[in-house]
Amino acid sequence: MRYYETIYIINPDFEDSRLDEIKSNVENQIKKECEEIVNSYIWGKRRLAYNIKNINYGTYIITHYSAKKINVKELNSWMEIQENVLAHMTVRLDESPVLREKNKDSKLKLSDKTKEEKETTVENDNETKKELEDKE
Amino acid sequence: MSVIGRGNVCKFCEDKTIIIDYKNVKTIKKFVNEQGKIIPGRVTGVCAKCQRKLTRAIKRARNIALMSYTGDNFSF
Repeated sequence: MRYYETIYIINPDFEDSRLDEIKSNVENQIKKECEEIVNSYIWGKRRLAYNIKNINYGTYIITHYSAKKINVKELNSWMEIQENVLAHMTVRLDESPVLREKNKDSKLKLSDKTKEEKETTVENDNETKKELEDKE
Repeated sequence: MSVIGRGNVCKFCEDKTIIIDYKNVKTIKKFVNEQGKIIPGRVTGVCAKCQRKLTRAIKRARNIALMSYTGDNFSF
């Protein structure tokens, strides 16, 4: 299994809805060849070291994915056709990427589970107490 | 020039928590001179293995516009 990282720059003036659209478009293209997309997140808005198409700032988007083997040439040629992508690069990673937490919902769910478990234990305790009383 | 590097220990071998990566621009920037050229390992004291990783990271950072090819204060 090999891990890859694709990074690309988008015009920072775009709205969030348009940005998500481009992001999902690229993900769909990557999904055709890869096995699983591990991460996909917006890295942030940065000042570019040199102008690209007369633009000084750019939003960076990073995607990590795993695949047995990927045709980088094909991906690059597809990316170059895209009008909204200012620059792009795909790199093979030496180690597996660290998973990023998407939302805090997962944590909340975990806490809910623990609460439920506690409640059940309390009920069990009550039952045992009743049994003991009955015996007496 | 080699006198400067004598006695220096490789920074990345000493502290293994530092990751040489093209996204980690702050650490990479120290190994480039004003003109944006990569400084040789014998000057900075970086070992050969780490220098190879460093050059790859710098070249990748230049490609994706995180670092300039010509240096920050370069003007025509």
